[in-house]
Amino acid sequence: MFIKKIILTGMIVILTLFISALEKAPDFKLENMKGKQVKLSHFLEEGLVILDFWATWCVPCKKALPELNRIHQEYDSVNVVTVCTDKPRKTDKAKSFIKSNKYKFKTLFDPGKKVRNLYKVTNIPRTFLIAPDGTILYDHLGYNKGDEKHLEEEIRKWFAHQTIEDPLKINKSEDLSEDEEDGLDNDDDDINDQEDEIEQVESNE
Amino acid sequence: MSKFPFLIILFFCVNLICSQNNFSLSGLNEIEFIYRDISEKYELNPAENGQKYKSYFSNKLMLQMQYFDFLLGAKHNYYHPRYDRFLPIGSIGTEEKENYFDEYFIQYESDLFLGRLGTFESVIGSGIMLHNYLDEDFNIDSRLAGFYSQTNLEKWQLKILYGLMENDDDDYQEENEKDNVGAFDIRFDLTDFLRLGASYVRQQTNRKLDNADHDYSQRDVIGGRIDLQADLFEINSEYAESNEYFLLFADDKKGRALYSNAVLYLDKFTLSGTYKNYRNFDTKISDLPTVNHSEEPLHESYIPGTDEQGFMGEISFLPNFENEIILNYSEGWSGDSQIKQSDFYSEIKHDFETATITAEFSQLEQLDNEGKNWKKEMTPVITLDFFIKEFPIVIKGEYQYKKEDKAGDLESHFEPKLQLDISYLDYSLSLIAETQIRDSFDTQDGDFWIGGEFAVYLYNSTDLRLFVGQEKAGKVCRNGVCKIQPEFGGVRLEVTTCF
Repeated sequence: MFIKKIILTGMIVILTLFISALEKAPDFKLENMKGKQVKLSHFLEEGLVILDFWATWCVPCKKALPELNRIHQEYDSVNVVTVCTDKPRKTDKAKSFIKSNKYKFKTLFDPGKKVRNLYKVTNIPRTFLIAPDGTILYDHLGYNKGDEKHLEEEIRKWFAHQTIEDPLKINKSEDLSEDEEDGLDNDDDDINDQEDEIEQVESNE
Repeated sequence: MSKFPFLIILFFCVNLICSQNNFSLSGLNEIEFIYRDISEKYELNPAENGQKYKSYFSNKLMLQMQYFDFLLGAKHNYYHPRYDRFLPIGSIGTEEKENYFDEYFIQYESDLFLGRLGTFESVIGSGIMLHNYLDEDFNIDSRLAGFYSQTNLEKWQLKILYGLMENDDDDYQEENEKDNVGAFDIRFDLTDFLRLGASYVRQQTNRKLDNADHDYSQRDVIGGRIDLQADLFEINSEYAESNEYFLLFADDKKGRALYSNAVLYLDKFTLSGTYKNYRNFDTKISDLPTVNHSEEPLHESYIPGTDEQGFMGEISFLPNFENEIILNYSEGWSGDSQIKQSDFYSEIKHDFETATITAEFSQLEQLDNEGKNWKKEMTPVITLDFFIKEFPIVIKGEYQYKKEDKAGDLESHFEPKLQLDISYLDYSLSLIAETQIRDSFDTQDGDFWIGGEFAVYLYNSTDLRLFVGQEKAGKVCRNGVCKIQPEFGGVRLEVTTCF
């Protein structure tokens, strides 16, 4: 019986290793700090997205947040979107934690575990780097000091592979409050702006 | 048993075949193999043949197929046999295999509407009114099987749900009989700063009875909430009132729950205050905030929601990016003041250029005058994160002191703990040693736990964790990931693959 279980475990482990990793990030909609519904695809229109799942009880998650905030502020075309997976009774605590630390990244709340299940997140912190077309470029579980360097390497790699040498200087909104207040109705305008900028870069070249 | 590899092969093939842009297949497979020490050290009874270890195997496969706005999902669990983490001390569990679909659903989601048929988790407000969910760490499964709908308009949000819920009350319920839960919630954004919500929940518990007027008991809950948000402050409050009738051996019962929270942001200071007041409020489908930093109930034997009040205050001070100071204090008490609790927590953190040091101190005190029981736990913790070359290292030292007075019998002990985590690229190793000294009041006198976990993240999709040794019960953060664990001795292999 014992040997049988060992063989079964080994078989499934080997099989699962051959299955390709999650390649496309599914789109989703969650409430932000102001209670407005926000879509992932909106952030992807502005460039790369770092999607990070965390909770207030998770010590390594909280250690990662200052680094994610730094990346969010340093890179023009990278948006950090964190998804708080705390139970609903702790949402207040999570909000005040984000506000008191003056984090500038976007925070969304997933009390019903809708997005956590969609991304198959069983342990946190879990961090994804997502390209504007939805391709998952990097997927990392856990946080140890220095992990952010690998994330930044992946970001630079992605920019290096783009046909445009300099990362698109699409100015992500410092504060999404206007978009949020408008219910994100200006998606078409954003896309038009991006197209104009691409044309301008190409003509300069 | 052999259908699991077959299922994985099948979906691997489907994954290759399905290359349509609008169709995607994704999933998660979790394997757990446990070789557990069942010797007397863990108060377990070795099998008659002198067996010292017992093996357990489980495989959980979750699959989701997305086509445009539709999502179809299922989750299958297989145990051979099940490793039940919550069995009472002295039990080693069943020998039976278990094989069943744990979850199945179809969901449609557009910008304005979400509809789901099948198994679902749901929440209203802060969870006081309703929170159905699965939490394997705490053995909670209050998920519903039925329908869920959510409509989001510019200023309105509407939720309607109905479902059946498992009931483990075998004494008074027919086999496979389930509870009915229905709910309605509406939220209105009056302005950008003010939101109002109102909800109604009905729960019916069916039961077998030969000579009663009703073969079910019913609980109606009505509640409202207010949420005020500005740059400088936030205030939110939720109130719910419940009516329980057709109860089995009791008169109709009225209950209430009030939860309020206020936060004030003053540049480098954040001040917050929270208040709770619960009475006769059943928590089967509700999740009442504990209102203390330790997230502990009023007393270990006290049923949350029975009759309790309490407050919590917190000051957070961030003078600059390198330093952080947190002070938190809470008190809770029962209506007759026979049961009391106080909890204090403080934290100081300082960031150096390549290192961080954190010092924490917590003190939890619980008093039960009726049961003549008093307990105090003091826990100082120091954590140091730093680098040696390119290896990140975490060293954590904890020295918990527990003192307990059980009906005049005073006892105390210390629990020192030392942890070392080291990682390189996707490989991590964590070692924890913990012991009890001067112990005089429980069966784990002088116990010593030492264990190590090796973790590796493979092919951007598979997380493999191998634990060997002994582990004390409680929250454990290893290799950058936190989990709640029962006491354990032996070998544990966990392989989680996302695809």
